[in-house]
Amino acid sequence: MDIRRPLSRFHSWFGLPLSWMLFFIFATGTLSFYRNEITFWMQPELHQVRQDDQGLDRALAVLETVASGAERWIINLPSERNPAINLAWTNPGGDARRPERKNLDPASGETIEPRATGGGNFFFRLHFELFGLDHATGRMITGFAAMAMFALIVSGIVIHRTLLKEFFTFRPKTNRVLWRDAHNVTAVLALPFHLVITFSGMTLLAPLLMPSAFTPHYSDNIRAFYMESRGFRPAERQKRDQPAAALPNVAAMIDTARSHWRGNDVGSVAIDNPGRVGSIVELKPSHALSIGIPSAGGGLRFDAKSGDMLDESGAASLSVAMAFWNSINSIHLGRFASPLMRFLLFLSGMLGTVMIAAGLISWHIIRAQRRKSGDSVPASHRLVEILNIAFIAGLPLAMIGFFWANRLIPAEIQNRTGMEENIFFLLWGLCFIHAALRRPHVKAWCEQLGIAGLMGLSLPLLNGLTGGAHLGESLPSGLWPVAGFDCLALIIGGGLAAIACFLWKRAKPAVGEGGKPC
Amino acid sequence: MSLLYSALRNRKKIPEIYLRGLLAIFGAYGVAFAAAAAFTVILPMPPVDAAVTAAMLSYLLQTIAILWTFVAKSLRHAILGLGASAALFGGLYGVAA
Repeated sequence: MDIRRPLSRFHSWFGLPLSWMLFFIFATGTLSFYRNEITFWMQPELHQVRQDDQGLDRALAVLETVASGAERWIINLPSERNPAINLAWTNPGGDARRPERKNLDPASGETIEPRATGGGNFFFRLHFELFGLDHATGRMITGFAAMAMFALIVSGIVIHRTLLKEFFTFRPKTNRVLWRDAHNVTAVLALPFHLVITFSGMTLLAPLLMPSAFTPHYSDNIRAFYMESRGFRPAERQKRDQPAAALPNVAAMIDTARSHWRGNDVGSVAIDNPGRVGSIVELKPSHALSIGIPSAGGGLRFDAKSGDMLDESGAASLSVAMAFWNSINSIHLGRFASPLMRFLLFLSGMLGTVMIAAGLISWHIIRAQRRKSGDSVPASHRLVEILNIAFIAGLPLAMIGFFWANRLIPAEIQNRTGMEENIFFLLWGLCFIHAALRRPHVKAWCEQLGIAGLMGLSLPLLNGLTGGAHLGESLPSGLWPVAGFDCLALIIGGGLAAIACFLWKRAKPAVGEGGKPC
Repeated sequence: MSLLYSALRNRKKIPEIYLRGLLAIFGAYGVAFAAAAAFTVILPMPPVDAAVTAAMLSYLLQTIAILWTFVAKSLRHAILGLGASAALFGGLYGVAA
């Protein structure tokens, strides 16, 4: 029996209704690889920070004045992903998950109050919780979508047994095979990524998505599973109200940690009971030391008074199952990633996004070309085309519009975060209406892609004009989150605009003759 | 909506595809759910390892089950196949737990 025929029916009929959601998840999820960088770009007040080697001392001095009685201090040191110092502390009786926060310029020691913004977290949340749903429902739906995508990928591999040959087949001349080939090339080019990212999407949601694997062992205490699998230490009751003591010599501990980690930098410093007897300092690496260790692993604890290293968290040897589990989850979260790796993850995510878009487009084009010239266009095909426009062209427009809103809404205004989000949804809604009403469809395509492209291309300009560090500043001073954001905006905006021009040029003769373009 | 339209236009072929689709979504999940429960109690590993291994194996089974619903000769075959494997894993869980 040839199983390719039923599988290819599955691929096109199951794939179609899911692909819009998958496109949304991939587009927002891909940006989430850079969520810290995006948040930094969206707070131009922070772009003026500069580096020097006194940052840690200044951070400790600030905490001593504003948070002297706190139970815990956390200092997130500057990194290539966020050049500012983030301070967080929990006051006695406060909720440890909602600490007080301040941003600090490492070179001056001044605290900076940046604007409120959803930042990169907005897209990060959207990509697995969707919108307008409670968290569990949203995660359940994205979990099922990941499952379906995994099955779609496997069916795609079976359908195209001659993968390697097809990879070198790219026929841009004809409309039909252009998009089909684009779908195949982007699928094969990043196939391992597609498999791992969808599978790890499911494993990250596993306790919710597949509870039957967990309840026999962790019947009503799934937190215990998380604590155990992520390598958290069981909480020790700290003794409070201890007599005062000198602050620890953190700089010496950082030197010890760096040599212990063979050069890996310290990402954050947490001090329990700062300035008290029995205080403990925990240092965490800036990148995960290896992709197999649990997310809370790799931390070194020091006795604040003596400066001696106490222990290393998550250092116990891992079982094969946990090492595999941690590895695929680390890849999904980009936890270990150096700048180059992170860029490759981002690029693979982009390829996945294009793959889904090309699949949607070729579904429609194949059926449009099967119609005889006199046939009326079925309403179902029109609907697919409208949704294709509103997702593939409209979603990028709304996402870029979100960045525009970030800079155009005044910084001090109340409920800025909500306004940014509303503008995103408003723009996207307008794209649906525009796609539904504009004829011929190719005009809707070109207009939405063109506007998105122009808005993307002008983001670096907008950044410079609204208080951010423009490329002339950010490149020479090595402000990578900002420079990288602006460069990617130019590339993506340019790409969108180029596609708009390409579509327009090709459709022009047909539109000019009053014919019916696709 | 588009699905409804297509279903109405191709009365013969499409409804079965979508019945299989429903079976693929819910039936295959049922099989995986039962399999995860069975694996997690049967696997001779510490609880954390058993739980994550069972979850990952169940996902692979779910993938196979989804594809099976479309490859099976008829809808009846598909239902029988999924039903039998769900019963098997449910039984294993019942025996082991």
